[in-house]
Amino acid sequence: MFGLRVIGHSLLWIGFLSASVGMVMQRELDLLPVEERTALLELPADFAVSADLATQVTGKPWIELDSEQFLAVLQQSLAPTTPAPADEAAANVQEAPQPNPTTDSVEPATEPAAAPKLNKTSLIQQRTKRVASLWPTVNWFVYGPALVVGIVGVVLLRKTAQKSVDVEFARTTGLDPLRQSLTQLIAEVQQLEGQMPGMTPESVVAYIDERCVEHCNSFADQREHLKSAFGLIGFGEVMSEFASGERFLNRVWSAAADGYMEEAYRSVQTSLSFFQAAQRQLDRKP
Amino acid sequence: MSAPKPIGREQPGGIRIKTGEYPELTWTAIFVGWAIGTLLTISVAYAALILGFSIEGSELAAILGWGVLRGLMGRTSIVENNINQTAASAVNGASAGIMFTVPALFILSRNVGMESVADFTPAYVALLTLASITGCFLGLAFVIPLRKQMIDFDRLAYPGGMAVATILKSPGAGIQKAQLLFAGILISGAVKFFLLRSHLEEFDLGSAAGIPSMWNLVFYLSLMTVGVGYLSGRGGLWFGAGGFLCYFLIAPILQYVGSPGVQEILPTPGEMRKNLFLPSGIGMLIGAALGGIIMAFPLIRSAFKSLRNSNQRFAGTQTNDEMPLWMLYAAVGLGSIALIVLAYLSVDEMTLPRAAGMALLGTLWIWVAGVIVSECVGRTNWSPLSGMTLIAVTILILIAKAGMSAPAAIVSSITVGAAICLAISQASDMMLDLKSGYLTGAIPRRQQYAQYLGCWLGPLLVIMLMIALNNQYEIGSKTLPAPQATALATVMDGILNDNVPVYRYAAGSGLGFLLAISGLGGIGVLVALGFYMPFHIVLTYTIGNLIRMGSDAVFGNSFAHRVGIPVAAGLMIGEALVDVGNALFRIGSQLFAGGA
Repeated sequence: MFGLRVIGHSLLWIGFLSASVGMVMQRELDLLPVEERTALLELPADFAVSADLATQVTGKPWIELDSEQFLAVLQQSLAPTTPAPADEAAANVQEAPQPNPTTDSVEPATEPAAAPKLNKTSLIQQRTKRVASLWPTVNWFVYGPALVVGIVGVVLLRKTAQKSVDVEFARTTGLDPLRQSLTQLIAEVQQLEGQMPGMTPESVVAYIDERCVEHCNSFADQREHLKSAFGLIGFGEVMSEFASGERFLNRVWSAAADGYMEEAYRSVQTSLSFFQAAQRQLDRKP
Repeated sequence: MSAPKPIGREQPGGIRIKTGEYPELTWTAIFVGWAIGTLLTISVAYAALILGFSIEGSELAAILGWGVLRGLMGRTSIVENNINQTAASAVNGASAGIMFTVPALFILSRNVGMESVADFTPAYVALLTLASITGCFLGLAFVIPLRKQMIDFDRLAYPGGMAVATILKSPGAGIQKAQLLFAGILISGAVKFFLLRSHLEEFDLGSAAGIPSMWNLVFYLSLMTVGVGYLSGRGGLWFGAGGFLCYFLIAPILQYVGSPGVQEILPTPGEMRKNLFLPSGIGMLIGAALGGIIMAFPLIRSAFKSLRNSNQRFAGTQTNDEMPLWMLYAAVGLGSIALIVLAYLSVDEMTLPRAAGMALLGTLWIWVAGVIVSECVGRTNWSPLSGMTLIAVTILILIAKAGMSAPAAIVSSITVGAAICLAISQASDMMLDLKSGYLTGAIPRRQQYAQYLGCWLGPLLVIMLMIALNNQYEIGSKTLPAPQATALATVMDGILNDNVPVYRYAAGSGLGFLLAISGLGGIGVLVALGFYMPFHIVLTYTIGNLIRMGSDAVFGNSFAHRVGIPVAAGLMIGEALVDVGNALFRIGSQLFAGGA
């Protein structure tokens, strides 16, 4: 069975990793024609071009250009005469119908608002909108089979999980460690309840820190065994009582630290009743 | 009849014994919570518009409440201060919820043809406020029944809740723990101050060691993150595993099998994350959450059964821990109906079926996203709030844009989207506060009432603040850049132009679902969050996990409770305090410069 679990884990993670690779091994621009993709990839990282340039040159926006037109306009925008980015916005507004940024002068009196800029990413987005469907961005031929491998791994893991817990459960003498923690905890809380009328607030706080917290943590750390013994619903029933008991024990701590000993006393009784209810739930299983 | 025998005895110079009711849900706590919450909300919301991040209010509210309730008013109740921080952080929940979404309207209104989207008439302001408050109520009603599952059964760590509890309990925890807490605060605060002064944010170990940039071996310089990792412990390691998978396994494989487009961005981890891992991570989070809900169905059923039993068993007594289920059902029912009405009234073009579709899908998403965010915060202290809001707005716009003009689609989607964002924000804050309540012995029902009493105030404050700031400085300008809302506006623009990577969301959700049903408890959400978050944070967080595992192995578990947790809580608090101080300083400087 150990071998089956190792195989289950291996299949799950191999499947997950392979499917992840299939999920991210392509980008949207990889669906563009090769020349267009190559031209876009070669653009410098700080590339910026007027959003209106395509319209000014061809009468059509970037998204509507066919590959040939797009490459021609892109080439034009990359021409060495293109002004420096800082001056580009001012220069671009003069580019109609056949722009020549270096010779067109800026006339402030007639200057319209500068056209927005497209950077490399936004230009790629504009062009990928031409692709009929972007779903092939994920390589489903890798992703699909890999996911199936992962699912087989999950099936194996789930089939062997219960047996594995049962073996571990038997090996660790079932619910005994849990029962022991809870019994010791109840004994300590009962003692606290009995002694509290004569205790100082400081000693109540110290008592909980030193004699109760460890038993609480010990029970909580082993709580997974409850699932094996009772199933998820039974696990919830035991833990619900235990957690309420622990929370009221924390209330005893707070009330004592603040000097409200009557509240601390009431809360220790409530805490005890919850822990005892948890014990009764636990005792349903021999 | 003789008087009842007094309980306990005083020690000379020790804690004074008090009689009478232990103060918990008092109007004093609520009023102080409102006052502290108002201060926090105005500061944090303003900072969110300038800096683009929000600050969780619980820890600061606990510290301020400690000073006000104990220091100024002489009140000595840990659980009363817990109510104060619950109410204050509920008020502050609106900072992120509104400032990450609504300002997008101002930014989009500067596009040609979109001018009308920022038409904040008194009627629309009232409607937006009501929608936001409805969102808060819905988020709380959905998440409250999950308290038992997440806190009692799964015992999620909620590092923020542990830090708050450490602050609240510090007066009674003994001098050693208090010293450790304050040492942590001082060290973390001093380090953060030094880092801010030196403009250092990260350490690029990869570059220093000559490792290729693809491996992204950059550490976020933050003791708070180490502290969070420590408090999360071994359970948080899977969060790191998600990030390691991305940059240590998948990226090197892509070097050989990736397309030319992918090869181009491999040397730039930021681009890799933005293009590949972030959208996949969002999808994985959704799939993992759905799978998690299905797998945890018996536990959820058990939690509801326990809630019903508690209501019957302890009706009318202090031991009755829970809000009555009928109240929660009523809140969900009435909230959903209110959201339909508000969506219908948001724009003239809206039809009733479309409003119903938007509101009901939005309500469903509040539940799913509330579970996702609460679990993420519980396991790691990080909230994928912006990712979940992004999905919400995407769903809403897709419904709205078929048959409505773009401006109407935007206004209605942001109105309902803000409600959803607030709902998710309130849900995660409630669970964090309930964890601190668990650790201090609070009665959950009282905290839940305090959260309801606090949550309505935030939307009122933040919406008024936002409008006033826009009139004065113009949101989206250099003075108020509103980074998160700008990002949302860009995404909305993309959605209107059919530019949503649904294929990556779909593939990611399949993988998230796979991990969630694997039976390897809770790893789906954690691995997904590792894909989603920037890796430099993940790396530093993992250091905290490893320190906890090492200290548990060498010194035992009790060392963590005696020493480690107070120090780690201090590390979280110190950095948060310096962050808030820095934000206020920057805001003040900016205002001063503007005024001058």
